[in-house]
Amino acid sequence: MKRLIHKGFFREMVRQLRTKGLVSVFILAGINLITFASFVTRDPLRDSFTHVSASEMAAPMLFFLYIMLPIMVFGAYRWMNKRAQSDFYHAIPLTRTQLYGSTSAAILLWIVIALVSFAGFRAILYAAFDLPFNYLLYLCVFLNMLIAAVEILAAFSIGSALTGTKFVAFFSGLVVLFLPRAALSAFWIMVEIDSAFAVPFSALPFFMNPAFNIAATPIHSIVYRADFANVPAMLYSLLYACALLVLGGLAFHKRRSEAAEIPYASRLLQTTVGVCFGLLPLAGLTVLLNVRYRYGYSSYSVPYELLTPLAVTSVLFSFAFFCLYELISSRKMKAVARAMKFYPACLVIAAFLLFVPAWIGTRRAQPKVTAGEIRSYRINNESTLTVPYGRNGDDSYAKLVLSQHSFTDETGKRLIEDFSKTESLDRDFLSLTAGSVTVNAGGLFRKVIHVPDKWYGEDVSNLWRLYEACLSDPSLIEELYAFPGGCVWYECSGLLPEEANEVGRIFAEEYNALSLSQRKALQKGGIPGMFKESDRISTRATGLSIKLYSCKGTTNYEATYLINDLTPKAAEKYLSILNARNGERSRKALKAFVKWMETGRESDTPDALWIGSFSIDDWTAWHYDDRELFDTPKDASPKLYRILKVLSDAPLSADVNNCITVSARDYHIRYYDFIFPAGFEIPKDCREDVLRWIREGEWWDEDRVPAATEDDWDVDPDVP
Amino acid sequence: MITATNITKRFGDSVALDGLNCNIPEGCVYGLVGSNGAGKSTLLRLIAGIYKPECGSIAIDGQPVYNNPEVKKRIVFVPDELFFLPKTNLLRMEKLYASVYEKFSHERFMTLLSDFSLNPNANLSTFSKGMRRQAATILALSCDTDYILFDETFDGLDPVMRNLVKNLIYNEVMDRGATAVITSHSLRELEDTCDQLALLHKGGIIFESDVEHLKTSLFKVQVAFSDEYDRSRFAGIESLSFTKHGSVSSLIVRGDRDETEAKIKAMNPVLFEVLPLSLEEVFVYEMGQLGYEFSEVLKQEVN
Repeated sequence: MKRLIHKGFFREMVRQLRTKGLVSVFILAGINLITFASFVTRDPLRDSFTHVSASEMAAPMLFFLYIMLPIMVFGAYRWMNKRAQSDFYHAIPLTRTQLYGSTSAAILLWIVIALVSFAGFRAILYAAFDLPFNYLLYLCVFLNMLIAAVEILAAFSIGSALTGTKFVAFFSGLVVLFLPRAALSAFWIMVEIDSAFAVPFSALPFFMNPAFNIAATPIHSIVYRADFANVPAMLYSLLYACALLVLGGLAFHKRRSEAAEIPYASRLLQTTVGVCFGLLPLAGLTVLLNVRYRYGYSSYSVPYELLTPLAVTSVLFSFAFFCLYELISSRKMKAVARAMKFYPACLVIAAFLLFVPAWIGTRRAQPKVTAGEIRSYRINNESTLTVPYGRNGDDSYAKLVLSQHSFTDETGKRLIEDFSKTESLDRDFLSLTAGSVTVNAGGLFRKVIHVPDKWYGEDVSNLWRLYEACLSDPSLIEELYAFPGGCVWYECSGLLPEEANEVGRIFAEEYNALSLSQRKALQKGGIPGMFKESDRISTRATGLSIKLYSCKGTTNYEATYLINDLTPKAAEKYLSILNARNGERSRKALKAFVKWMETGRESDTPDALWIGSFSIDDWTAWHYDDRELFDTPKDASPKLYRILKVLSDAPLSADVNNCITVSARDYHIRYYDFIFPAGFEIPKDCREDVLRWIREGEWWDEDRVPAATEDDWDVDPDVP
Repeated sequence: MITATNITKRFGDSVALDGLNCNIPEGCVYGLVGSNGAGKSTLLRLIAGIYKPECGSIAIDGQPVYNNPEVKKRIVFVPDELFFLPKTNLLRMEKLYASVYEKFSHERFMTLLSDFSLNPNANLSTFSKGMRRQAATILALSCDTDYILFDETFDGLDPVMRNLVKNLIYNEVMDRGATAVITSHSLRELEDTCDQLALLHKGGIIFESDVEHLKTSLFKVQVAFSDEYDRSRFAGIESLSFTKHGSVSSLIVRGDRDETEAKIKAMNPVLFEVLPLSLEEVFVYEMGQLGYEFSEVLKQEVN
C-alpha cells in the first residue's frame, strides 16, 4: 500500500482539495434540501407518493460526478500544467505512482464523503417521511456511483497525464471516457440492425445497456430504468474503471515533468484526439448512410435529397472541428497547417465505419434453436400481458412474478422453435417490440428473444398460444395472486399514509382469507380476461382501491387491489374515514350540482362530479349539444336530477353493500380543488335506477329530449 | 557524493546537456556557473530527480535518483522559479513540506523565520521577489536534507540577505556536513561562497576546480629588471601569460607562490610584486589555456 499511497502526501492533497470537496458536499446537500422542502410542503392527502426510484437517486449523483470530478482532477493535477509547479512536485521524495495514487485517493475520499453525506441524509429523509424505499437498491445505486466516480476520475487523470494543458486534458478525458462506448455502440447499431433474433439494447449489454459502463451512460438512460442491481454489470464497470485507473497510473508513470505547458505529450496523441474530434460529425453521417443504403427508406433513414448536402456539411464540419481543436490546443496557426496532413485519417476511419459493420452485419449468422434444446423460457415483457407498468418505472407485481418464473411446457418450446426458424430475417422488429422471452437452451445459449410485431401482428394466434401455455401453469397463477409480503407501503386515495396503512393491514387479512378466484377479482391489472369479477356492483358503486409498494430484493414493484364487498371490513374502515373527513363537503358539492340543474350555473357549482366510478364531468358538454340547450338540465334529464336530488339528502354510509360514493372537483381561478369521496346510502325510492346505472356503466335517461337537428341552431331562444 | 556519468538531456531538438560528467563530493559548496542556456538548471533538475536523462546516469552514493524516494529524501531543491500554493502563507507551506520531507524540522523553521524576520501568516503573494526567495530558502533549509540544490539562489536578494543566506549555507555545510550545489550566471556571486566551481558551456562542464586551489595556484607577478630581457628569462616558471611594457612585465604564473618568489628574487629584479587574481581573472587565463574565450562562455558576466 505504501508503494501506492504516501500518507503525508495523501493528507496534503486532501487539504488542497478541501474547498472543492466541501463545495461538493454543499451542492449535494442543497439538492437534499430541495427534496426536503418538497416533502415538507406537500399535502399528504393530495400529493401521492411513489416508490422512491433508483434513477431519482442516481441522476443527481451522476450529474454531480460529471461536473465535480473533472474540476477536482484538474484542481489536484493543476501542477502538471505549470513548469515550476511540476518541477516542485516531481522533486519531492515520492515515486510517480505514489503521487498518482495519493492524489486519486484524496479525490475519491472527497467524492465518497460528498456521496455518503448525500446518500445518508437522503436515506434519513425518506425514512423520516416514511416513503417507500428500497435500501438494498439504494446501496446498489450508491456502489454504481462509486464505480462511476472511479471511472470518471481515471479518464480525466489519463487526460491530465498525457497532456500539459487543461484544455487538451479535458478533451482527452472526454475521449477516454466516451469514445470506446460511442464507437462500440455505433458499430453494433449498424451490425445488429437487421438481426431479428436480438435487439441490441439488451442482447449486447456490454455496449448498449446503460447499466454497463455506468459512467459513460447518458443521463437520460440513467433516468429511464438503468439496471443498477445488475451484478455482472457492476463488476464489468468496476473492472473497466480499475483498468482505466491502472492506465492512468501507467500514463502518469511515463509522464515527464518537462511535459508541463506543452499541449500534448506526443504528436501521435495530439493527432489522435484531433482525429476523434474530426470524426464526430462524420460518425453521425456514417450511421445515417449505413442505415439508408442498407435498408432503404424507413423511419430511421434520411431522405435521398438530403444525403448530398448532409454529407458535404458533415465533411466541412469535420474539417472545422479538426482544425479548431488543433488551433485551440496548440494556439499556433503553423501547427494547424502542419496537422492538416493528418485530416484524411478522419475520412479513412469514417469509411471504415461505413463499410465494415455493414459487411459484418450481412454475414452474421442468426441463432436457431430447436424445442429439444430449450430447457426453459421466461416472459420478460409485461406489455403483451397487459400488465400495466408501475408508476415511476417500477415493475408491477405481476411482471415481477412473470419475469422470475421459468416455463418448461412443450407448447411454448415448439412455438419458440417456430419463431427462430421463420423470423430470423425480419427487419421491422425495431418498429415495435411486442413481447420478449428469455430462452435458456442450456449449454447452447441463454438469450433474450424480442418477439417482433410481425409475429404479433400477422400471426397473433401463435403469441396467444404461447401465453395460454404459460398461464396454464397453476404454480404461476398461485404466485400471481398471493398477497405480497415483506415491507409494504400502502396508498389510498384521500387517506393519510397512516390511515392507508391501517386500511391496508385490514385488507391484507381479508385478502389472504379469500379463495383464488376471489383474489383474482381484486387484483387490478394482470392477465387479460381475468377480471370479470371487477364488475361487481360494490366496486363500481364505490370505486375504492388500494395501492401497495414493496420490493423483492433490489426490485421495486407495486400492485393495485380493489376494495369492495369481498373485503367489507377494509371498505368500511376506508369509507368511515372518508365520510368523517369529506362527508359534508361532498354533500354540499352534490347539492350545488343539483341546484345548477334547477336554476343554471352559479359560482359554487362543481366543475365535475363522480358518482361511484362514473364521471359526469362531461355531462354538461353533451347536454348542451342538443336542444336541451334551451331547457334547464333538471327538465332535460329528469331521472338523473331525481337520483342526485335524493342522494343529496341521503345519510352518509360506510356499508359497502349499500352505498355509493360521491366526489367532486371545484375549479378555482388557478387550480382545481378535489373533494375526496364520501359514501352515501343508496336511496330506497330510486335504488333500482341507481343499480341499473352502476350495472350498465353509463348514464341513460329514457326521458331525454331527442337530439337537435342542424336547423334547430337557427332558432333564437329569446324570440317567442 | 553525486556522480553524473555521461549525461545527455534533450528537449525536443535542442540538446541541453551533452555527455556531461561530474562528481560532487560530500560536505562542500559546489558552484555551477555558466551563461543562460548553458545547462545549469537542467543539471540541477537531473540531480533533483525531476528530469530523466536520455543517456547516462545520475546517482547519489551509487543509488540512482530518478523516481527513487529513498534518495530524493536526502535532496531538497530550490528552483529559480519558485512555487508556492496559491493564496497561502508560510505556515501552510510548512505543512506541505512537512508532509513529504520526513526530517522537516519545525524548530529549525521557526528559527529561520526569526532570522529572516518574515511574517509566517502573511500571504506569500504579497511578498516581494526577494522575500519569496527567502521563504523558499527557509523551507528548504528546514528539510534537513543532505543535499541542497539552489538554482540562482541569490537572485533578487539584497546584500544583507545574500550574506545571511551564504552564512546559512556555510553553517549547513560546516555543522551538518551537508552538500550545497549552487548555480549562478555570475562568477562573482559564487567566488566567495563555493569550495568547488564548475563552468558549464553548451551542455558540458569545460572547467572544474577547487576554488582555494585556483586562487592560490594562479597569481600575477609584476617584475622589472635593469637590463633588457624577454620571456625566456622565466623559463623555469610556468607562466600562462606574459606582457611587457617598457622594462616592467606582468606574468600570470601557475605554481607554488613561495617557490616562484624565491626563483624571481634570485634574478635580482629592480621591481618585484606578487598580486592576487580575482576568480574571474583566474577563469579567463585557465580557459584561455583550454582554448575557450571566457567572454563567450560567460557573456553576461563580461557584458
